[in-house]
Amino acid sequence: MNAPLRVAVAEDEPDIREFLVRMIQRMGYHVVCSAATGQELLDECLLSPPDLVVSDIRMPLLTGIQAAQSLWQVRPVPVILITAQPPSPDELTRRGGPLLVLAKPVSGPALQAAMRQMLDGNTHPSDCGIPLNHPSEQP
Amino acid sequence: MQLADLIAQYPALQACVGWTEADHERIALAAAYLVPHLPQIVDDFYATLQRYPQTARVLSGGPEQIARLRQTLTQWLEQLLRGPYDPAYVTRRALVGRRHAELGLELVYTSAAMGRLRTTMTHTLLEHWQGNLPLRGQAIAALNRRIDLDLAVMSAMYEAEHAEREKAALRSHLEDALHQEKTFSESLLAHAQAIVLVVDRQGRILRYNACLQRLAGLPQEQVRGQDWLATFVAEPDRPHLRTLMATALCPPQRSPDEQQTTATLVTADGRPRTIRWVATPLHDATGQPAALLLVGHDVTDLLTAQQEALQAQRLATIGQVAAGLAHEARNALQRIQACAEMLELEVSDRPEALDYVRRIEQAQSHLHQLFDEVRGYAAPIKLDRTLTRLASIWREAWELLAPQRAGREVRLVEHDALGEVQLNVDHFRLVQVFRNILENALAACRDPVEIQIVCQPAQWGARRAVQVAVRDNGPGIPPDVRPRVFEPFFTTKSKGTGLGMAIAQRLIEAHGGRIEVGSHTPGAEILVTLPWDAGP
Repeated sequence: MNAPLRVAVAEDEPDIREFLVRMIQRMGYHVVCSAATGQELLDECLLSPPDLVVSDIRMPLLTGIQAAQSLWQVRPVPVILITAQPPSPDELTRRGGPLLVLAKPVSGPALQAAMRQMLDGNTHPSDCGIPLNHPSEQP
Repeated sequence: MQLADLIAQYPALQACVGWTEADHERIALAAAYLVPHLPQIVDDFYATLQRYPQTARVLSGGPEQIARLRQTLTQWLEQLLRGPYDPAYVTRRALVGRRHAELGLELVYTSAAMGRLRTTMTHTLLEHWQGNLPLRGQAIAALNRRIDLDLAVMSAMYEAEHAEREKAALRSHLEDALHQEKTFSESLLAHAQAIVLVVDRQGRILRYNACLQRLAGLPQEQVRGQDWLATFVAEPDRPHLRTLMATALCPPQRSPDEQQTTATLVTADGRPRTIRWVATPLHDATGQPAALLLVGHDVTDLLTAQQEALQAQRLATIGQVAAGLAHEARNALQRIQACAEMLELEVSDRPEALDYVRRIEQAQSHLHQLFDEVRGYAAPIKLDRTLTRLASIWREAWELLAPQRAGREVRLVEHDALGEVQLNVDHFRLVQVFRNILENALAACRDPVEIQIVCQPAQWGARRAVQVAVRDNGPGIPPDVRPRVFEPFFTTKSKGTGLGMAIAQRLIEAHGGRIEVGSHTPGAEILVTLPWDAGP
């Protein structure tokens, strides 16, 4: 049997961080990092590279996007960003790695579906798709 | 001075220069020496006139004129030497003075010319007199008195005529100025983009300008003398205008605010216009207010623009607040979601507790939707237009409502007269509009539901348009609800934010179209009108 896939989590809000960690563990993945800042996420991931990153965008020290961009310079690790404020298309065009953005609030099943999609390789690095929860959120 | 006055005063004038009947005889004596030399005297006179430009200009008629004038002067001199110096003589002299004034010959030249004749005649006498020398002196003195009298008469009539002419010129100038002023004011009144109305103290119409005639569609002759308020002003606004009139007519006048008021004008085309009226009293010769001048500006478009600007500003503010709130709320909503889902795991073996958790999740989901809709309503709209068949739009909206239709007996009937015609619209936004309309219809109707969509070409003013009517077989929209259908947060449903139709209205208006409640019965009807050539 294969070893469980390794997932790094970053979220500055403790309630949400706990939720992400518990849900991801319940899905059968191995949570290798539970960071509260973008810098912590980057440091942990450089020490022990994960198979997938699930991160908030707005965090102290380093944003989720900045951390992801630094990671992608080493390895094209798939990243799921969860955000209260969808980033501008300009921020996303400079991404440089496999990325999916989910708008908060995200339910456990929605997160699971997004992670499967990323890990099954359905999202190619050049894919710009941003599945958002509600049509009215389109700019 | 009139000629008659001059003739009446003539004896006094003669006395004044010392003229006596003896002078007449002395002149007769002198005439014997002068008459043979008249041709030379006349030659000298015209030679002198031609020598100076100021006098030569009256001789512009050439040799013919000079020949004629020579004859006149010769006759004139003969009359002077012969007399009799009666009223007919005075009249002839007077007419010469008037004629000079008519010709515009200045009086100074008349005096100079008379001086010239006086000199040449005196010289002639001095040179050719034969006989008694004291008599010669008396004859020269008599001739001088005669010339003085002639000059006095000519000058008097010259001045009288000149004054008359100046008066006439001034009158003509004033009449011209008055005429110009009248033309100017009439053109001002005719072309003014403001209403100008004059009424008497009782408010009876005296006159008004073309602007009011155009708006009200009433010729002046038809309504002159009638009460202006009853003729032009909507009933509820009449009391304010009565107050305005009373304030204007009763000094001392109050603040400028009290001298103006807005009121609705009854117009020819039935569309009410809002007019801002200013009243000013018009005083008669005794200083009493005799009439009222009412000037009205049509502020309908201004007020509409102000209201629209205010509404846009309000929406922009709401938009900013809502966007900020929605962002902050997302984190809070995520925490509720997180904790509810974790709690769900903890109490998975307790059905009642699980039910509560699901209710929390439903409440959270409702709050989430509310924030999204507020933001959708208030955020600026940028349309992404593509050529689209309208039928594809309402069909997609209908598909999106599959969950709401599940388990119900519903039927959608289409009457699409547009066929393959495509409009340049924002597909996604219009799906939102029809989704909201259809969702309301589904919520309002009991099974079996039948919703009809009637799509046909229409005329909107001078523009070609497309009208889509969405009709249902529900209870219809009560009259008191009709005006509030598009009001934000207005809802008759137990669930819902009350923003669906307000958002639909914003989106249709962004397309340059119109959405309204139709009059088709039974059931409710919503009419969406879109310009055929919508958008750039």
